[in-house]
Amino acid sequence: MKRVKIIALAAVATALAVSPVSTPAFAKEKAASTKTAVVVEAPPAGQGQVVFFRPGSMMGMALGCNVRENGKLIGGLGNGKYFIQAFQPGKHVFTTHSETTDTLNMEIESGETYYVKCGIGMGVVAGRPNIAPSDKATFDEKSAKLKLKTIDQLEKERAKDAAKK
Amino acid sequence: MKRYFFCAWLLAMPAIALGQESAPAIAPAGPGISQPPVVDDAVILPAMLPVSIEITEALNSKTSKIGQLFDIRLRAPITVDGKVIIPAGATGKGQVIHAARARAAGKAGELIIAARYLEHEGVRVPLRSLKYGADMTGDNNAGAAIVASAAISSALALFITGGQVDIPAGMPATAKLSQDVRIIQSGSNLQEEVKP
Repeated sequence: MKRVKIIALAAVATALAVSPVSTPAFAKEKAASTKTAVVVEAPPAGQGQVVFFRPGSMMGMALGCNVRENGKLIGGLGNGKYFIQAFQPGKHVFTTHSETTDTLNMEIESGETYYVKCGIGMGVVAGRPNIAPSDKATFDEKSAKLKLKTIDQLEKERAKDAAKK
Repeated sequence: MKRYFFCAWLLAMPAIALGQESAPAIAPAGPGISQPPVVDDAVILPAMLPVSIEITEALNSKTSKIGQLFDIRLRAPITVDGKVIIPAGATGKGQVIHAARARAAGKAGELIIAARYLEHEGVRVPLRSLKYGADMTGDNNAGAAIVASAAISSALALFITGGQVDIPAGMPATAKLSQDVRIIQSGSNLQEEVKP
């Protein structure tokens, strides 16, 4: 009986000794795959593009950050989301609205990629979404943890927004 | 018979005269005779050619106005085949695209600027793709947009203003030519690039 107990204890000890080795290896693999920064392709010929992103944050996480141009919805940025939108070269004015309206003036040039970050600031009643110019380095730092909003999702969202009006 | 010879001589005269006139034009220039100097030399600077510039005017997200023009200057000469086409120091203009001052609730200052043109001997060289920094490789994709860092950590943040964006005078930047530009320079103005 003692021998059986010793063998059983040895088996458990072996299992415990092996499992910590295999788990971190898996975790590392997972971490490596999620740490890869998003590679943004060049914009379509003759157009420029803007990468709108919103890093994940506890502050105002339930609030949306709807980016509009001339009142038309370009896309909504949920917590930890991003999307890429191509634009014709020229001046563009983007807005986001809650308690107050925040405006961002941009001049888009063909072949260029721009980055715009949405953050939620403190408001009197509710949080205030703020769209601000950003850069590739900031996006690269956060992009591994961001989730892409596809063109299909954006189009559905735009159609829904247009129907409301 | 004499009349026929006289007529033939009369007919032959213009041909002889023409031949005498054209002969010197065909003859190669002998030693000591120089060709007329080339007065003008046109050089085409291609679109998207990177240029090193500096922002010579201090800019601030609090005081800058959208549409405001500011001064820029060429930092390094534009050269083609070792010849200086536009010397360093050529001046031009940039423009403020977006400016927003820092506000309460930790909203940071924002500033977006663009390079418009350089001027050289009456020719405007249009610019685009302004990027901060002196990196001419084009890898620096920071863009010409700066937002100051904002600190939002507590309810008190509502009364904390974010930082303003300050661009000091002399800040290096790069831009690109937005289109092909034809520069006509007199031969005497073309200089060999001086390499240190």
